[in-house]
Amino acid sequence: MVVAPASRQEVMKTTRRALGLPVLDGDALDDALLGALLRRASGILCPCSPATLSSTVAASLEGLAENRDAIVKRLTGITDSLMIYGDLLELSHTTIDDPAAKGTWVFAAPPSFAGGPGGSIFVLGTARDEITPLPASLSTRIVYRGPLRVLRPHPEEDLPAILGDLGFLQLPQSTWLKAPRLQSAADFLNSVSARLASQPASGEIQDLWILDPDSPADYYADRWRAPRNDTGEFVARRPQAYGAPIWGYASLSEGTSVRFLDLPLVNTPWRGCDVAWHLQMAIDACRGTPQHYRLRHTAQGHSLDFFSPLPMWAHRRMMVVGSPGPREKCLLAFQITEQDFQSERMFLQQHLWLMPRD
Amino acid sequence: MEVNFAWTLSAEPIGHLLAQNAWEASSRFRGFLQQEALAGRIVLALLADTAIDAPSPIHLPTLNRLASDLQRVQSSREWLNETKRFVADRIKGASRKSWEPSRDEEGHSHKPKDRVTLGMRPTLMLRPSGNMTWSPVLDIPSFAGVARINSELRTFLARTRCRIEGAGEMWRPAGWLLSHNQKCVLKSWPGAGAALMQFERDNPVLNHLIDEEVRLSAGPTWLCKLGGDGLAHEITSRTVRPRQTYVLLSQKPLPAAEFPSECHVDCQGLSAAFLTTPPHFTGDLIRALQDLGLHVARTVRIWPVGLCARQWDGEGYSEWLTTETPCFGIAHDHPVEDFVLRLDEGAELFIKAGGNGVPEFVSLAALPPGRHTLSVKVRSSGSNPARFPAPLEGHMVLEVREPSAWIPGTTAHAGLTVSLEPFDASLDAFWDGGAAVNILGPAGRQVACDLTLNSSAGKELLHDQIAVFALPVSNAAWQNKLSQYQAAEKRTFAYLEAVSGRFTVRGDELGEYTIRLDREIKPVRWICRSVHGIMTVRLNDDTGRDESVTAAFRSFLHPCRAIALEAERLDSGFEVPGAGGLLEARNGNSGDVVVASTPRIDGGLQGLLIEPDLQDLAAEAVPLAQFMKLIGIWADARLVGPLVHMRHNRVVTRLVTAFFSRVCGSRWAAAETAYLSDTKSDTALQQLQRLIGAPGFAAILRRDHERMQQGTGPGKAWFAEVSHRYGACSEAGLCEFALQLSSQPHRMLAVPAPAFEALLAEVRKKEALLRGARLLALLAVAEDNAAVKSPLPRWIW
Repeated sequence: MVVAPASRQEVMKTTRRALGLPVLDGDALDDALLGALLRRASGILCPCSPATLSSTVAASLEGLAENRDAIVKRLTGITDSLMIYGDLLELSHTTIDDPAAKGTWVFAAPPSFAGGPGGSIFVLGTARDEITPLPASLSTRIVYRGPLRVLRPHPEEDLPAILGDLGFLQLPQSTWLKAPRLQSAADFLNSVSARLASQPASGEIQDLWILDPDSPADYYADRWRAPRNDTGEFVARRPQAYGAPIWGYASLSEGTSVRFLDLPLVNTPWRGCDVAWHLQMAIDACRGTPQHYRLRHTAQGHSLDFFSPLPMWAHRRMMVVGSPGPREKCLLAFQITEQDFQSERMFLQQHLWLMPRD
Repeated sequence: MEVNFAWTLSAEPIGHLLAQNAWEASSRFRGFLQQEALAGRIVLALLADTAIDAPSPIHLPTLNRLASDLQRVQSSREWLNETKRFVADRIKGASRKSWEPSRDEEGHSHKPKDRVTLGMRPTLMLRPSGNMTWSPVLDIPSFAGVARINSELRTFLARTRCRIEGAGEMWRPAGWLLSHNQKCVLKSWPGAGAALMQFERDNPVLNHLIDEEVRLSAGPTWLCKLGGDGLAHEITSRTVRPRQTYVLLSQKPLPAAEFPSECHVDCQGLSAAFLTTPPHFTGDLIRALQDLGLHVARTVRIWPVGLCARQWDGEGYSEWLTTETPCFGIAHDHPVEDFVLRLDEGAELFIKAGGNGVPEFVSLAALPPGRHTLSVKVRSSGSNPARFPAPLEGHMVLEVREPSAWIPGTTAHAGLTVSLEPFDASLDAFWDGGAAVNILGPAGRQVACDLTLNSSAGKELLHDQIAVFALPVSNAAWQNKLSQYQAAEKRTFAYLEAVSGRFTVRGDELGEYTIRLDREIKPVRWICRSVHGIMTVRLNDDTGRDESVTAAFRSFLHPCRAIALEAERLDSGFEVPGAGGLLEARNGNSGDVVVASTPRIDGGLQGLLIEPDLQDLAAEAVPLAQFMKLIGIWADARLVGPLVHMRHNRVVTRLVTAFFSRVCGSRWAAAETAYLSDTKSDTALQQLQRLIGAPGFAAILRRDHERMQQGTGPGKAWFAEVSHRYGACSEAGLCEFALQLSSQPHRMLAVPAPAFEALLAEVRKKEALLRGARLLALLAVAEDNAAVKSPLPRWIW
């Protein structure tokens, strides 16, 4: 029959099958399914805003998901994960429709791949009408790690060459894991301060929020507040008529904004939030209160627990070198093997000025 | 399994499929694909040893020999390699779902609809651009579906620029409609019924399709529903529902009432109002909404569930792929007995309705391409006949199409947009800077542009990077880097030997764009070599003619004097004499011209540049055609060797100046020379302006000369209008002739001599017109960022 009644479970199975996902019993909305739905939506809707992606997918899950607010929140988080992995690209200062207007949009990355640990391959990006344009012999071997697609090679199999022949772009580690150039926290802070000083006077900005450097870094959400009688330079967010508040670096005098530098800086590939989080780490380090990460010993090696968000380039590196682990009173946790621990500790110290603690 | 499926196809569909989808391939390859049956059969023969079941129009041993011969010939090998690439993509795409009519579980086949969708319908949405201010944005689908109809349409779309009505005067680059969905902001409202697109050239088939499909929905009001992401999408049925927010658009001023409340729209000729609907509609409100041309809906909701739908407008229109199985949810907010669903003319399905607000789900089988209608009838329980006189019935339109296969080497999203104009530029045009390259993308990101050159034997002669650019890349920046890249001698020699190339733009995670560049191999061609600083040349003559080739040499010093070259020296090769010059060779209709420069420098630094002696042209009796012929020979030649660009340009500049000295007078020529030696000199530019003799006309041309950058089509129209307005000339044809003569005098040799003489006599009577046109050409030259400034602009006629 062409039209048939379907139960919620049957709809879920049909959807999973259409997306090339393993069909599961039950009607669980797992991260792999939500990630695949978002990737498919990106092939249809991009360039668009992240909110368009998550609201479109949330609308198609009406009746399947019990709580709309909860599913929107999860979709927002997974959209962010897809940006961190490189399935979606958030591009700033980009022209899409009006040659006179440059904006920040989310694009679907082209089909590509990057090497992971142990010869595994992370499959990234999407084509317009094919979520993963791979032949069945490869697509059935995809393993889902949350929303991330991973291919593991058979013995003697040269997966990069096979994917390259299929037209997938290989992202070398130097590109995929590119980090800002190494510099001291003070140098970084001074360079951004100099750019802030060269901004014209901003006048008072209503509804400004600042990241309070005096508050403990262990509770990231609690560090945000409205200015009181503050004087100095702060990571901040200013509202805009439509869309998420703009990230920036603000100079305040007795609680009133004097100058405001929008982030991301022109001619940098990082997102506004990445620059802001990195900058806050530099501020904390220069104040003599560097941010910490918690170190726990586990059976697999070490668990690194972070209390503030990591810039995308650091988050991606942690994800490649380690694997996401269970969170315990922290924002992010990664499992790192003993073998990789020292190099990662150096990376976190040199690039983000983060110190370990037990 | 996928490959086995492909073998069940006959050759013709494979050839057809290739031809349909190879619009991004080289022009030669597309030409080859026009013989669909042959292409398909050769492909099957080459891709497998499997015997083909269907009777072949080609005897099998012949086919095998043909394939083997083709493999030996370079150009054919390249065609075949390219064919393999496309087949690999298409078989993958085709295997997803059948080429045969789809069947339901009971085995009934469903014929595709007669009217297969072309997917050209643009959608309207509103994007916030300020406080209570909106910008209308048109989302135009890719015209790849239209391009698949036939090769003429494909070629037309790939070669013709288009303009979007209401989105400004800007012409979008050729091929703009083929790559992916495009969005553009409407600055002025095109109005109900107006075609939204205009092509630079006329095409009756496309004009008809655009008149039919590419237009706004019927006005005079348009309704857009505000979504959770802050965007408002058009509801084509103009149906409003409770507890929703809409933006109402109208060509006429909307009534100033409390409901709806006014808001602003950044679009000329359009008013807007904000409309927030209450939980329940009163009778007065329903009448007020109906007065605005809106309909009030009853609330039985149907929505795509699981997979979101393409182009879903929330009111019954959606687009799907043949590989997808759409599912829908149905919910109601008043007592309902059951739902009756029917797809097209199929059997009815009865579904018992659940409680209020409890969704029911239905799934559809994968559908064949075309337009399908899902009808949903709602039978209310305990119906109040006064309120619901008849069962509710709604229709959903499902446009179903084949999935577009992903083609590696193209940028499938607008994050990285590469435009090459003309899209099928030859290797020579690309190398000479005759192809405009623009790359759009996020500011600050970098792209690397590479060039690979291959010999006729398929050997890679050169593979290196032209430059790394920060996005976006303008054509001026491109030309600048290209000329620097060409300066290396080894590259020039590789280029001269190459028969094909591949231009690649690599943007790391932004993607990659590749285009093939072909060269038309000349039967008569000069081969240049430089060994230890000694430049030698020899001539290849593959014409097969009994007549011997004629060849001549013109030095940089005496560019007008041709010295015949002895035939016996041509085959064996010889050293280029002195500082070099122009070598020309011809046999019948075939010929080749190359300018070869040697490292020899006579007379110190002054010898770097050689001042040509044009005494041979000094006599009044020398006809203008002789000037034009000389300009043509020198201007169109290929260049090779050290200092060649400077030396060559000096000769061309002097010849062009001599030509305009004859046509416009010696004072004008002197002013041109002064300006070309320093294009930043305001004094030199003012002198040119003065010599035009019509101050107002000259001032306008100088002020608005960038209008010529929009292309010669709009440029000539603008020039004719200005010339008419200032009394310089009222004949548009003569204005165009003046522009062409001032920008490419040597091409005027193609105009029959009597016609040319008559036009020249006319234009000479209108001194201000010709000088004005030449001023525009010189200003365009000044804008060109090339390291060596040619005296002629790059306008494409």
